[in-house]
Amino acid sequence: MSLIRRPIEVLREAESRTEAQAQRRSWPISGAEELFRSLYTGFETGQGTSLAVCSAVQGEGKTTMCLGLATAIAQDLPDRRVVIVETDLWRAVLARDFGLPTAPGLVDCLLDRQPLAAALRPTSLDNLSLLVAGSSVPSPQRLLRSARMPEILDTLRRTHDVVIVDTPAALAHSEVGLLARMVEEVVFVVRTGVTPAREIGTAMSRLQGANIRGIVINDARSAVPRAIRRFVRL
Amino acid sequence: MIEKMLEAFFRHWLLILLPVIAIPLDVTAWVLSTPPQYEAQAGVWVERPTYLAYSGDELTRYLPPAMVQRNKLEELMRTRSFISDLVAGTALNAYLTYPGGETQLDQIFARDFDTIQNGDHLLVIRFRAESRDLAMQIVNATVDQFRLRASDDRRAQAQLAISFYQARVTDTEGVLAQARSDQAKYLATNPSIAQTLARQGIEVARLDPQFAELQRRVEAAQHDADGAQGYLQSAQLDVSAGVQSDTVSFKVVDATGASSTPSRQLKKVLVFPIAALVGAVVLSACLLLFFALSDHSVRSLADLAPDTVILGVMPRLRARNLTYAGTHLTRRAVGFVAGSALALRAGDRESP
Repeated sequence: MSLIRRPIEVLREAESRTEAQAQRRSWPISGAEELFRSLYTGFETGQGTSLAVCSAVQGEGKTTMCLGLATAIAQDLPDRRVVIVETDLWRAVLARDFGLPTAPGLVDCLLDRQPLAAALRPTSLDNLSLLVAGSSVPSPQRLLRSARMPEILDTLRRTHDVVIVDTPAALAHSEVGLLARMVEEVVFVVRTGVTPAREIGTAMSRLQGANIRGIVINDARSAVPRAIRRFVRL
Repeated sequence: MIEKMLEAFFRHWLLILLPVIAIPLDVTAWVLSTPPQYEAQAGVWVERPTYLAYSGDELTRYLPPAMVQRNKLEELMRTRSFISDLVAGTALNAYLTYPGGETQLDQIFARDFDTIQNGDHLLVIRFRAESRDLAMQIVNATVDQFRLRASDDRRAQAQLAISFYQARVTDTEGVLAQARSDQAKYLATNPSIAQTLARQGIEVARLDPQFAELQRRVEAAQHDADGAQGYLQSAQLDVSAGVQSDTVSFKVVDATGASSTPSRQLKKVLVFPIAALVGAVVLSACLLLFFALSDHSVRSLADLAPDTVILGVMPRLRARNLTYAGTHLTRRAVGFVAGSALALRAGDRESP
């Protein structure tokens, strides 16, 4: 099952969408949809249906990237079912951002307290679901290493077309390597001004065995005025 | 590296430029806030200090007299006794009446007092003060005190030398008297030698070895006594000559004069702000270097390994029309499309 279609197919599909489908909620960030769209069209050659978004340290925009990608795909491809899985059990934010109750979520599914279907939360986009982190537990790393985790991902792959896994920071939690190997493709997020250049290699080495597609530079900005950049040809 | 430096500069431009703006401004304001001063100066013609010949100051032999005297004056200016004597008759004497006043005096002299060597023999003594009278008083007092000190110094050395040579003369005369007494006793106990000495002279009498030895001692003691006497007379002569030469070796050629209007030092008005600017630029450069070198984060594609696959570059996303943002505004704004808790401003919200 292909995650991404060729751009021309995307355009044709967008044209065929009804006005109601196209006009859901507008993005409160100018051009953001185009940016995320350009990102997911970049993955076109990949054949994976599950994608992990990793980064070296916290606060690099993994969750933002997951949300943007999932939303853009769900908006552009209404026939695709997309799910975001929040595996950063140490810093769960999705439930809070969406104003949802914390439980049930991934932790509850891993502990077999709740069925997976009950933990999936609908969003205002019909084809986008969330699997938030869930209840807090004292040792989340054990849950991520359990045999139940790949089972849940397999189940989600069967029920959804696109599974986007929001992982914890690779340098902070070694479980990221396991998670990365459970999915077809890995996107590594690097935030300018935050990610130490030396740590990228270390973080990447922790993902050995995973199919790292490449790096997305997040929050790319230069403090140097454009005229000066042009002048010194930066 | 240029890119990193530029990034660091434009990211911290305010902090980096602050010293360049603030420090010269502060220094200029300080310079302009200090009251203008009167400047008094006197030109003094100096000769090498005419110490006694036997004092032989080898170290300063090849230095110009003005430099020697200037060094001496500057050394004296660092002593409390000289400063106390100097300010005794001036308005600055008030500083000596309370604790900490001496320190303030030291600061005043360090700041406002100058000695300038102008040629080999001309020494210019300069002092700046807010009062014209005070400036002149200090310059006059400096000249007087320095001359007095030099004279006292010379006199003390001379007295020491005279005392030494007087003691030496006494000693040698004692030795001479003893030698003569021993010779006289020997002649008294040996009349034949005394007769020989009387009849045939001292050359024949010297044939007696013991007499010859006593005669040699007498002659040596006489020689020592004559030498010591000569040195004593020379020292006394040097002292009297030195004291009389005071007026020649330290002569005020330009009497103390002061500027008629107060003014600020050119050094303060120009040099201080320029020095402050240079210092501030150096400080800013150090700050820039610090910021550039301490930033180890990824700033551009150049900071990544050459074989890195770049899937995309996301610029900084800015949310619009938000009434409630809270933390992690961007993430919540991105998630808004899928129904996050983020709210839009009334009127901007579109119905789903």
